[in-house]
Amino acid sequence: MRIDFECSGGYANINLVYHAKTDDLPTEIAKEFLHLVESSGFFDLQQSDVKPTDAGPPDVFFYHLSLQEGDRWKSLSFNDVTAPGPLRPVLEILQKLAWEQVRKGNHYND
Amino acid sequence: MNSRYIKREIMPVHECRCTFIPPFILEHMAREGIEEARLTIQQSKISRENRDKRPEELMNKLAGVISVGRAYRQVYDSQNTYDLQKKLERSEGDPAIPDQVVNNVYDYVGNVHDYYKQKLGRNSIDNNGMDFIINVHFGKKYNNAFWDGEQMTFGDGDGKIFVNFTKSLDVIAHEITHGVTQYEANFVYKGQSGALHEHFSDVFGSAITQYVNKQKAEEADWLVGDEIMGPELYGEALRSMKEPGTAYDNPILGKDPQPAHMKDYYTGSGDNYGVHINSGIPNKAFYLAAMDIGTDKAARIWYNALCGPRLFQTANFNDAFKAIVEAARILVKDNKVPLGSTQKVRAAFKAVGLPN
Repeated sequence: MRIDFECSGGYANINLVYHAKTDDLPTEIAKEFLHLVESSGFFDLQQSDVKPTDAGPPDVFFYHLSLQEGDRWKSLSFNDVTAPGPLRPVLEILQKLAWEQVRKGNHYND
Repeated sequence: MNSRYIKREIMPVHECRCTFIPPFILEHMAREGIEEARLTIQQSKISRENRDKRPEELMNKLAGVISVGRAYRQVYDSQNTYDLQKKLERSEGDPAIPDQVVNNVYDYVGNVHDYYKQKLGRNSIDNNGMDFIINVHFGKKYNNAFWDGEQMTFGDGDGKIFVNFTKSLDVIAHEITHGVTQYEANFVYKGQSGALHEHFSDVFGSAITQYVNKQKAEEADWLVGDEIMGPELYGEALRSMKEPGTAYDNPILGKDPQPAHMKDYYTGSGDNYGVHINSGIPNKAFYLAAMDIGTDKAARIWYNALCGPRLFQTANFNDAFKAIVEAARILVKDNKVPLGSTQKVRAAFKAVGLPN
């Protein structure tokens, strides 16, 4: 599965970007990620379900997540107040992976 | 379309407006100094506020009975979930509890409320005694804090890059001030108006921190977010009002992108077209004004501008300049700030390239 993830904004105005393929991740992490994606129902969500209604509110994180596997592809943009609860564990693991990648020297807003 | 559901749903801070004269025309006329347009914008704002009130509130107002809230603090523990108002841990007047995060935010919110009330005569976020609803321990290692239109929410941080976001008074004052701004100018959170939203929050974050710490302008560090940096970034900050662009430079966060002058204005689309970036420009103007006339007096001028009739949802930096200078002039006339303050505020903005 191809992953394209961005988390931006917030009080600290971070700009976290993460691109990866699950085939390149450690087996256990890839397995956990795929399980979380299936549990979240991501591919059944519609942009209208999660679309922010406004440019704000102030200091929330904005997320952009695209996942592609075979002929399944979905790209969604949402923020902290419109993010569906089941998607939260996916966001948590992606942010963790993204910060680890930053620490390894891949600058986070490249 | 607005929808409500219990606890997790957030009312958008901008409601739908239906007007005969398009708002952008009225705002253009107001910028050109046409007083009638400015008054129309202000009166329309009041009408919409009344329309949004519950029927019983309006009836009470008509009957001469104005219900005033109690400005009570209510601190909820999200228990590391993404639920808001999950478990009430401490209400107004309750004693301290073992969770120091709850106690910290309770005390700091009290400091912010006291400042607004005693220094500026403002009764809470809505100036009508609105309760302070606070959520702590939001999410898992959540590196953020925000105002959602009704309440504040704080994460614990991941313990590496950021520590708990309730650790810093300026974070709490910043988020509460987003609420104050919502009830006053209600800037659109995008572009220059969004940068003004951020700017006023940094202004009062700094002013309130200095007030509580009994610091004068020249004694303050003028840093934003320095107290929530984790061990990996200890010593850095998120913004500098004194020297925008110098708050941080490290491999993890990159380099502070804030400009200190209009010549370096960020024109990209990131960060909602630079709301946290271009705020550096008016932030520097506030710093310069505060160093000249004192933080308290500068904050009073800025507050009067925020609450006055000259700032509206799509105001830009030039509009803010005019509003703040005019606020200074009126405060000078009323002997609330020293003679010469108007010119010093004008000079502070000139130093950052405003108006342009």
